[in-house]
Amino acid sequence: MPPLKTDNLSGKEYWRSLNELADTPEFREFVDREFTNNASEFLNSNRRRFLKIMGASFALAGLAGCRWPMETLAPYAHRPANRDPGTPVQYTTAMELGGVAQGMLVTSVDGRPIKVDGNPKHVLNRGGSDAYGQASVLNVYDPDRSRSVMQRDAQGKAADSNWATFEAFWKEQLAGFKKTGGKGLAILSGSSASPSLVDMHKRMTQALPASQWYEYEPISDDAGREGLRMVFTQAARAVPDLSGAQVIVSFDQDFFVGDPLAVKFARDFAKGRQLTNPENGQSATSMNRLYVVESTFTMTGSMAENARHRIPVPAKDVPAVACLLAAELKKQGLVLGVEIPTPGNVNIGTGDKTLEVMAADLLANKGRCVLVAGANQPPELHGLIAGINDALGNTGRTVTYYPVMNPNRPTHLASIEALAAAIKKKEISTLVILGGNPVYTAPVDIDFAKLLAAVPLTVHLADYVDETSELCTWHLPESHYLENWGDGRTFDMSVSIVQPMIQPIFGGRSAVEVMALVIQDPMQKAYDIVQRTLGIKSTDWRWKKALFDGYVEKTASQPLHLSFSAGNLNGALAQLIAKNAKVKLDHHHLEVVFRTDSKVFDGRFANNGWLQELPDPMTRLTWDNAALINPKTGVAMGLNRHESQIIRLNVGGRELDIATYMMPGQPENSISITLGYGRTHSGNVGNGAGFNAGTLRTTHAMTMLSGVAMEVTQTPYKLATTQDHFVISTIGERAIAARVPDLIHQGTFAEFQKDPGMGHKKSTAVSLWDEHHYDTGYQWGMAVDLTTCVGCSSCVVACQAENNIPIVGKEQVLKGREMQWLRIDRYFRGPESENPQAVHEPILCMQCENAPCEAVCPVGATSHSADGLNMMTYNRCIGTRYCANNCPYKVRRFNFFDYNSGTLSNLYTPNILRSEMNPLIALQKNPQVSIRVRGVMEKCTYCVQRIETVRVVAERQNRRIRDGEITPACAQACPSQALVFGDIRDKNSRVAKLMKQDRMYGILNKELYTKPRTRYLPKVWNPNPALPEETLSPKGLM
Amino acid sequence: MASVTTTQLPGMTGDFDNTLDDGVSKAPLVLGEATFREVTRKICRVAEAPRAPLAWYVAFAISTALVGVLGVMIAYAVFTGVGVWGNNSPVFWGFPIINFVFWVGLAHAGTFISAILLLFRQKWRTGINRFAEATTVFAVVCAGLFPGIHVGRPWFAYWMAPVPNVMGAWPNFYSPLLWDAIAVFTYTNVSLLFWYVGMIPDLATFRDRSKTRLRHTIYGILAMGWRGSAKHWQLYERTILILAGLATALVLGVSSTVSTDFAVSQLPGWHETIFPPYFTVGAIFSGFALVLALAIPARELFGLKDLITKRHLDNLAKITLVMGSIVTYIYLMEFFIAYYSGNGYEQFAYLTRIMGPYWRMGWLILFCNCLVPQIFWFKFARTTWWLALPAALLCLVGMWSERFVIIVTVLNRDFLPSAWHNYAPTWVDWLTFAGSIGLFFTLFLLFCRFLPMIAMSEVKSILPQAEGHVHDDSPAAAAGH
Repeated sequence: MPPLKTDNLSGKEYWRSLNELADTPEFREFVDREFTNNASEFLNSNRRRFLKIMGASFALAGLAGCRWPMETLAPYAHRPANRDPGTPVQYTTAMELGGVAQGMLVTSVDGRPIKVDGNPKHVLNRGGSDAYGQASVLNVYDPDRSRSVMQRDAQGKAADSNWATFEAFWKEQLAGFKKTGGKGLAILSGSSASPSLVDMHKRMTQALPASQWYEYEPISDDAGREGLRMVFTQAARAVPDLSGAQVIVSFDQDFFVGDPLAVKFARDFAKGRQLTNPENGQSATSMNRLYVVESTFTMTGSMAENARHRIPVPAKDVPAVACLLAAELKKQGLVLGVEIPTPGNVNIGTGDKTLEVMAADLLANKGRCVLVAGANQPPELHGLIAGINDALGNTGRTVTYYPVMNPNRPTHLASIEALAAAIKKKEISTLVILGGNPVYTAPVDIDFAKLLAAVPLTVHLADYVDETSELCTWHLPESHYLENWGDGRTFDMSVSIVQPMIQPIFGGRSAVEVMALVIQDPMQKAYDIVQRTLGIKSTDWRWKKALFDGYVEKTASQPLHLSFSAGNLNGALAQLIAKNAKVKLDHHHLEVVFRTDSKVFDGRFANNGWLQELPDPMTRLTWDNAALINPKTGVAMGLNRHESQIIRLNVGGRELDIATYMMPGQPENSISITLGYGRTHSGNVGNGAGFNAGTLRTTHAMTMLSGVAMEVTQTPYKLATTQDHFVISTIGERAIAARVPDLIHQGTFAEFQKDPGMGHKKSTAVSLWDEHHYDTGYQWGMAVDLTTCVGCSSCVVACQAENNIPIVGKEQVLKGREMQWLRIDRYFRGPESENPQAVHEPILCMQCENAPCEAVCPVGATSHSADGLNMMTYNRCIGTRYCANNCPYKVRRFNFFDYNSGTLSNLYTPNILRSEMNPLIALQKNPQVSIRVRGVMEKCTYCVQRIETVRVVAERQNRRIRDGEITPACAQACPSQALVFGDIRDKNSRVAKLMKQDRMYGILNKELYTKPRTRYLPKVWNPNPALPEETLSPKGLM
Repeated sequence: MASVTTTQLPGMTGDFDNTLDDGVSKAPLVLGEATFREVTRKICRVAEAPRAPLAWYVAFAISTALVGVLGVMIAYAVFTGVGVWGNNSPVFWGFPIINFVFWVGLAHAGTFISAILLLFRQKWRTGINRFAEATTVFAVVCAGLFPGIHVGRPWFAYWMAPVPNVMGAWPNFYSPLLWDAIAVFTYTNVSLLFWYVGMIPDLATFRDRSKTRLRHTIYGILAMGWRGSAKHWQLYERTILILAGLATALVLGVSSTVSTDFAVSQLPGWHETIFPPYFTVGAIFSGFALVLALAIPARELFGLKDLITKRHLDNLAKITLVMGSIVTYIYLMEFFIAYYSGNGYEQFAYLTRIMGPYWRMGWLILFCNCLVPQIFWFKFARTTWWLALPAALLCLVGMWSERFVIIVTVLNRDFLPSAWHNYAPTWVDWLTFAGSIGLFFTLFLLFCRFLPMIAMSEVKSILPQAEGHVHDDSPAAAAGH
């Protein structure tokens, strides 16, 4: 496929929120234009580009037949024990991401996994999950996954092969290696804490002592390991405990996205912010406070108490700001065993005052505060932060150090450099790549593609025929974690067994199995290997218990007791600060920061349609990444503030053409770009989406890069955002400013303590007619806590997975036809500055008691149930769309096309010419939820299928449904437990205790008296009294 | 019956200015040779001519081509999905509903002229009522097309009707869409009946004058055995009167009902008590503009200047002016009430009309519907085709834009700013709209060619001769009788 980025894209329908203050003629012209799309759009190549994007529902119909029709008819003459056809069953398993295993609970129907959630018993997840985990199930059924072993001949032509051929081939190879002790054989693995893989490594070293093992992870936590090694003499993992911290300071660490521990962080952070305990209805007496120093406006930044609690600085200045804070702490009396260099001129605006207040706050909360350094920051910062935490008495209290796997391994960067050097020296004759996609992810100056060509034999195990597979001699299909046995360790080293739910659909094998093949281990099956590694037989009760619990008991490591000594940190820190001080940033020497993407991670989820279409929590972008630029910098450099255009970044001859996104809250002269886009061989969904930031990423600049020149081109680019699609004129901006306070009630913790009702008074409205009374049976309702919602969006994917919500593709998102039933609105807040605050507000169906949608449907397809649900009868819906017009929350979604059949590329083709839903895709669908056809309205139902399933059980047992027995998918996924569902009539239910709070409010209830069942707890901030918010000037209308 | 005499005055032909009222005698409503025979001849010759004017063929070719386009567009939408249009979330209604409301509005003049003016005994209406009624019927046909195809599953559109079924599923009578469907259905039937019944005597005339077997048969069937007996006339007059009464109520009712689609919702900018009269007046305004715009070329094209006189144009323009002024008043009232309500959402809905993303449309409406009709204060403009015709067309543009603005600007920015999204029609939308215009003109051109364009029997009734006392001595004085 040709590169698609430079297609002549026209039109501009993208604005950058809230700060519509400029009044340029071009902008006016744009606002004035009547139709932003021209009607002839369908003719230009732009649309064809969209046509190329195919959904996960892409029908490789012929290929899908390879395995699928191979069915064995096995009637249940004797039903296997514990197997009820059609009844969902749940199993525990584990998913490894970034070398950390998350405990998962998988729902499986008739042998096909359909939903992944967090394992409630797992120490990391505690029932919560992130968007990656939620979406991972879709990859199992991705028709684009690699389907067979492939062998490439000398001419580079690939042909399908099979495992037997490869095994025979390898045995010959191995015979040769056995003679030389494995000389010339190298393994390149991703970061993994799997005991079995580690064991395989060990066995290989024993059998083939001359063989080499390299480990590379594009998004690595090595900086933390190395930083702690500097000050503790051993590598370790710092695990902050946000739940015990009153004061939290983040140095460029985004807790809530991209971090393997994000789920834990969100839960712990929310614990310190939960103002009403749903278990007992009691009000909190304290609330944590978050300060953020960051180089990108992240979700963590948006949780900072107000704009003055957040210091945006270029990434290279973050250590300097930490030094300023350390100096301030010392000034205020902290005994800190680190020599703090004086940073040069660091521009932090009004941040001086913030640092002073922050230091005082930290000192006042010794042992109850925590500082955290971001994984993208250099080791020296991690060392310094460990020192400050130590001096503040946080060690062992709010920050715990755990051992890491293989503590003496070189860093991932050093490892891949060593591999490159070895290849260049012709020391490697055979390279086996276990997963990962180094051609795409390795630093660009290594030129991994060229290196591969220099290795005579390359074997690549991967789940997709990706950029790396294209260049390897052998490609081996990798099994999904839901397809094969395995194991992994989480942050505290406790072991989880990866339990498969389904046979490998495409015959893939796991990395462990391939290693077993490589060394010709007597055990070839992962099932046996895992038992051997863990020393637990499957007949052992401990095996069963481990599978039941989702982790192996007593494998968790004790926290390390380490004593801090600055040692060579002092010198290194001084050197770093001095080096960074020399780096000047201006319009001609910009900084580029590489960040983990909230959706595709490092690119591995690029072919996942749910994630591609998931709006980024901060930018609301789908199907693309972009260069996030501070508007002030952007405008000064000649960029149009309100429309995206292509810029060319250039550093040392390396170029990247990328679309811009004006993001307030970004530091000046610094551009943030997420990794993982611009894939060329990810599959039909991910190919061509976004821009490959990796083309600028070198061994010297893995996380940040300075001295980048920017060239502004006049090529416009259409970014598909799900909010603020269009430029909002001045009156629109004013209306937003006037409305948002009504839509998102907010206040400070001080106000809450004075009056827990936060100024809300019981409504004295009297109805003019006798309203329907909802005073019998169950009455379902949901409480949404805006204070604890971090905006991580796992609920959105969970809803999509549970309710069979289709994806629609970028072109349809641009048209405003995205289908997610649950969305998280993002509003910027604060004085009209370049440094606002952002708030996240999950919007799902409000299940209004006075539902505006119901009365207007001419065929009665939407109606109210006795238990207060606003129901949708798909069969009866004819699609007048009146309900959606009349819904003030716009939570109804319409099937403008048959999104479930055919491909996303042929939506505009008459149905009779399109194929049925891909049978492979159909396997993922939840059988309890209808697949909606085109022309039908759909919406959130509070997961009515879950309610009814539980109701049936309860009624058969002749009892009431217990509180917590029903959890909608969104609430189940939410790591911070911001969504609480239950029976509002039951006074003892958690949701009723929350609903009782005076501060609870219904969106637009005051205006429209819809009596929503989904209600909101206001957003409460806990600003330091010494850092009050700059005066807000909400401009009213007229 | 009195012998027919020539009542023509020298110079009193089509271009004669009969708009003046001298206060003594009534102005003549039929010019040229105003005899029964001559009226019959003039009207029949259009349908009886072996060949229509070349312009007719050109116009017919274009409009039938557009009907073909319409068919293709509808088939495309039905077989593919309504996503082929520009509709999105939150603008769930787009062109189809805009066009529906627009066409329903256009369907108002005919019945207004035939029914209300009949009840008010406005004799000038006879010259134009037949083809005005025809515009009503054809506009209703065009309007009725859209609600059916705009739904997501058009093959189930009939579920809006109370069709008994074993499932016991019944329409929701709370829904304005249902009221709307019923109103439009009723209006279609009554206006069609009204039009057809009124045409029966003239169809009989056509039948009687037929020279070919085919024409004789077809017109014979259509004339339903009309012989012109006194009993026939008596029944005819009574039927017409009853239908006129019904139609009068419907003229006021149908657009009021259509307006409830909007007024009963709770969106700011839709949820307004002023909507029923607002829509009705707007509909009559656009309907008269349409009749005016059609009358001008029709009298030129088919040589009917003696029957559709300047006085007719004058009167049509005057009513357009009155309705335009009421529409203007309502616009001002809407803005005032929005301001006076103190409701921010309401205020924003109106501000965004003239300052939001579609501000051009907003100002276009004010120009076309408020300013343009004001030229009809001047008689010169009312009676000069090159002023009246563009003005009438601009009024039509204005009214279409009004429908666009009411629907799109309200939906694209409602309560939650996060859901705001602009709307842009697609090529399918435009071609469907153009196709509906083609359908209208196809029907209208067929009507002009094959049916009595002017109500012969009624025109004859306003000839002086029909009064039974001919002022032989002073034809001028008699002309207005």
